[in-house]
Amino acid sequence: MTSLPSDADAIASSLVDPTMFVAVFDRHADAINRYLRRRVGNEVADELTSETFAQAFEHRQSYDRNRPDARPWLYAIAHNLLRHHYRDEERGLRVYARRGVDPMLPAFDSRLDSVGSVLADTELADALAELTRQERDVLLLIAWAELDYKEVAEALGIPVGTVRSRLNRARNRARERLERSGQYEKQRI
Amino acid sequence: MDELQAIRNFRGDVPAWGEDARHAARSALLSHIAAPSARFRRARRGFGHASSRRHPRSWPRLAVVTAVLLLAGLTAASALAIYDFVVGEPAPTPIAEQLAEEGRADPIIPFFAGIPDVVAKSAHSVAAIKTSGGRAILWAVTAEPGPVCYFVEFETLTRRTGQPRGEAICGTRLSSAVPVAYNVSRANVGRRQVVTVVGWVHDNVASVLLRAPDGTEREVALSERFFIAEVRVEKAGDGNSHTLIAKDAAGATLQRIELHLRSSNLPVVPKSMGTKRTVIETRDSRGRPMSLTLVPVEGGRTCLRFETANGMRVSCPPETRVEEGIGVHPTLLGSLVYFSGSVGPEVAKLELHYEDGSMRELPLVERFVLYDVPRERFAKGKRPTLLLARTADGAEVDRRTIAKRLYFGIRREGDVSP
Repeated sequence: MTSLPSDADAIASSLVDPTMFVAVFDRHADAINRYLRRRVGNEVADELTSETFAQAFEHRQSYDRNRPDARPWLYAIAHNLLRHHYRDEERGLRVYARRGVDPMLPAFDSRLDSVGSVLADTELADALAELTRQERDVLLLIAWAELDYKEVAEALGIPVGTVRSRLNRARNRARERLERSGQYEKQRI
Repeated sequence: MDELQAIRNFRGDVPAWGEDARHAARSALLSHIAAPSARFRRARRGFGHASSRRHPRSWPRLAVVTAVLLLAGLTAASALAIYDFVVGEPAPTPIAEQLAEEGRADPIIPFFAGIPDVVAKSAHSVAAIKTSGGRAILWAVTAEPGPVCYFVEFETLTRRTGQPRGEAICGTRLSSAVPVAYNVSRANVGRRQVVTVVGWVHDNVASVLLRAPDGTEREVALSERFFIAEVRVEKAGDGNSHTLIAKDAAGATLQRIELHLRSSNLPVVPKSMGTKRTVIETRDSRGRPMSLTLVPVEGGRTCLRFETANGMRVSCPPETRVEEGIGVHPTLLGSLVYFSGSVGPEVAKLELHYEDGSMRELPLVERFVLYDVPRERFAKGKRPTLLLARTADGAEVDRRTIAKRLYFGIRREGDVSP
């Protein structure tokens, strides 16, 4: 049985044979794209995904080969690109909070089938919009990208302690909103 | 459910991107990797090294089935894997231009007379393989009507020189009776000499195998009916034979091509020693420079290096000049057809006669000749037909008919086709 090369191996090999870099795309593109879609919508996400891997390829020489998992590095690049879309993201969250329909994802309004869910989501959308960008990044990298604290710290270039504090603030904000909507208490019961 | 779980669920039903979007992003990355970026921006065209093992005849550049057994001692095949991601990439402009120009040059060959130019726009990547000299990309034009043309690019050479280096080669379309056309070519990539077998097959061919001298077989991947594989050349002498085997879908052998030449026949460019001396500096019929340089090499010999706008050819004959008569031959290099070589010491005048009865005296410099045939002389009824050598007092000492079917290897006694 053969084991797949790590991301670090694939990236190192791609310095000799650039085509090896495709393995990194094949492994992580779906997750990166899904994360970006949830943040900024399909169209922008698809563009950013493409750009993320193009930039990653261009900068592969600087990749730290001691890190076998390339996800933090890829999310760092994605976040760097995402910065230009923060306003759109926040605008979308606010619209969602007001109208109950996610403007980023117009095709998914079937979610309106549950009033409770919409209430919770509008509150969450509002909460996410109110977070600072730095807090939102930490929260969503944990919740959506499923990175651990250390990986988030790597992706955002901040200390792990900062990750913890930002996450804590973000969670508190979200909890308050959910409690306000009644969903939180209801679900805890 | 805590707040973190609620956030995890938020927009959790966003569907994954579709196959189309994913494919588009993947293709974009592949283009980015394989793409012609800055390395192709230089407009100047260039060809790779093409040396000749036969003196004074040069290698014909047309790949046809009948003109292929040029190399010897081909042993182990390697790196037959095709990278599917490069397939379909449009060819970089310099390569497309070379392919188009090669296609346009073909009317000089009767077989292609009347066939329209190759459509440069349709030039695209067909396959790529890993070779001992780095990745080689096979670019091709298959648009109908017209000849099949291809260009093998070694990325290492492109990176080094800033432009794709190689040569465009055109050949005939195939029939079920002759289902495989191929050519064996060499490229000097750094200190390595990479030997590749490149070809294309008729529709009735389902697979192509490459059998090594030790009997082991490898299937050569077909991509758009093209194949490309590196063959390792061993220094061992006789007995090395490599076999291409084309099979149909039922597994029946359609064609078997033996490459059973000796490795000692392989053209090897000797190491340059001493001072080079340019004997002829002239211009081709389109005003581009071309030259003939004498290059002393190891072993006390002297090689002839012909440089043209379409590439360079090196010939390393046992003797620098022929001992007598006409040692001048036509060469097709890209769209250029030029006469080169030397004449014996008794020859004072060398005449090139054309089909329409006109004649041109070719300049002789230290008994060497380098002359490009103008394009208008490609037309039927105006083509070169005879070389005639005379002494100083006008006496004819030698004559060579220029083959009617130039570059097809169908020669009569006295013909001087390559």
